[in-house]
Amino acid sequence: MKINENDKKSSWQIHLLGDHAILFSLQEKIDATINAEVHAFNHFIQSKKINAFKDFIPSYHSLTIVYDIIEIQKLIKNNLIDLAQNFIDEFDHFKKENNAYSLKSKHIKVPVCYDLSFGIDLEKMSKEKNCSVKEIIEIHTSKTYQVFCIGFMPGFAYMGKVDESIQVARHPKPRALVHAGSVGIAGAQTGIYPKDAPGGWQIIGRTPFQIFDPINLALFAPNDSVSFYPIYLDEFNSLKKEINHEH
Amino acid sequence: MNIKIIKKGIADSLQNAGNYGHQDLGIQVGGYMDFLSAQLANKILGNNLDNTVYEIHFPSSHFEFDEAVFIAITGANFIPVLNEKSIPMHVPIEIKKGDVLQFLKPMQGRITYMAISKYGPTVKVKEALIEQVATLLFKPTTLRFIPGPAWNDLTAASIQHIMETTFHTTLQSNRMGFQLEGPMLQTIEPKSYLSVGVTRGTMQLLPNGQIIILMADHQTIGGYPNLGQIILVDLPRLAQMVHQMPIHFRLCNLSTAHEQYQFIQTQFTS
Repeated sequence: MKINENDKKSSWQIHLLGDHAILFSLQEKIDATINAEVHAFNHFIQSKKINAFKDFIPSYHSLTIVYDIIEIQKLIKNNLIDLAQNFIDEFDHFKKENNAYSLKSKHIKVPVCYDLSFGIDLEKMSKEKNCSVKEIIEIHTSKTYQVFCIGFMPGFAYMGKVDESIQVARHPKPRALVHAGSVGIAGAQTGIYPKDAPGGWQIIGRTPFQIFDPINLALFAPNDSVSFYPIYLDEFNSLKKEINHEH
Repeated sequence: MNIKIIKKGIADSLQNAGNYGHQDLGIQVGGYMDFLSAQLANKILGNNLDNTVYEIHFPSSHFEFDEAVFIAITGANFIPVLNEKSIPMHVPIEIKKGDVLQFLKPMQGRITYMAISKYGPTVKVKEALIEQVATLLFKPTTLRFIPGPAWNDLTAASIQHIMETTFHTTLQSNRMGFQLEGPMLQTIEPKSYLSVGVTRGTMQLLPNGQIIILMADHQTIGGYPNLGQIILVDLPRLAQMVHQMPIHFRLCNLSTAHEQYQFIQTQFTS
């Protein structure tokens, strides 16, 4: 992912989250460039291998760092805000030195069966958006998506942005059960349910892939790029069988 | 270590200091709800402070020990009895093979902790530390917090409510979060927030105008307004609150929060 060259000077804001976390945030919007900047900053700070930092939580426009209260005292010269500001300054400097550097990320191709038995919201969406089910599938599979962040449940990747022509709002009342592997849309975001769970996203298909398991953890990582390709129901079943065998 | 559960309790579990480092994959930290009681139990036995401990709710399990060990019980007082005889809390207890541990009645607090060791401790824990922990856990009704990103989005009336009204714990309290009951709070204008990282102790404003305070098993990111975070040393007090306990919020600054945490940790490690 290329970092915008014109955006050398950061507009990061610092907010101390209670007594054991720092929130760094950019402009509050779902935007691929802003999100790429978040992941670059996250990568930059993590590469410093600072003992006091216990967890890094990137989201759309922000990075939250959880720290150890005892350990961080050794790093603080004036105050915590100054320490946080130093990281931003160092990052700005690093960006200047490394013109439009690339952040490594993996690309994952995800097979999705858009059969109506899986894509239980497809027909309603087709009416609402005034486009055929076939077109919805074509539009959903034509794009490469960015993993903005992971949350909601272990391994659940918020990806975007979904083409405006097929953006639909969440169900006002969440379904009691959405099956594992279900591929959904919520506004500009698309995502896959790692396990059976209640949920409000509009479901358009299902993947046989295992999104999360306790040993290999999450299939997706923040900043990965993802594309979907359609498969038939019999391919889904045979892939599913193969995958179940491996696990 | 072999411990048989003769009768299963409602919500007993083994907990450690939490598994950090995977929140970027959406994996919760977890770990014990009340670090003061967990560390104290380990300290009494001379264990590493972050050893795994039993986190026990009432009605609790009945435990039968298959070998001779030492245990220490801290946190909530559920009246522990060994072979039907009352035993004290906050001291090492020598256990023989076949001994049965039960808890009779919840007297104070919500969660009791049991640490285990093969060996007896060599140093006695200072009475002052035990008292300090008890004070932090059960004395004041205040929860100190540092204002969060959405604090300034609250109406003046809502800020006044938080600072002056008594809130109460509710039955909607579990390892993920404690939902409180209090006056309806609202932001100046309806505003939607993008999901951002949250932490243990984050006070979120729910759509129904009530506050939920995030606890050990909280989600990694959340989109509700972040009003503030309870400071770490006050979270065990909340964790120990049963249904309908009064809460008064007090503002706190970062240096006080850090000093308090460092002070108690120094006591534990000295």
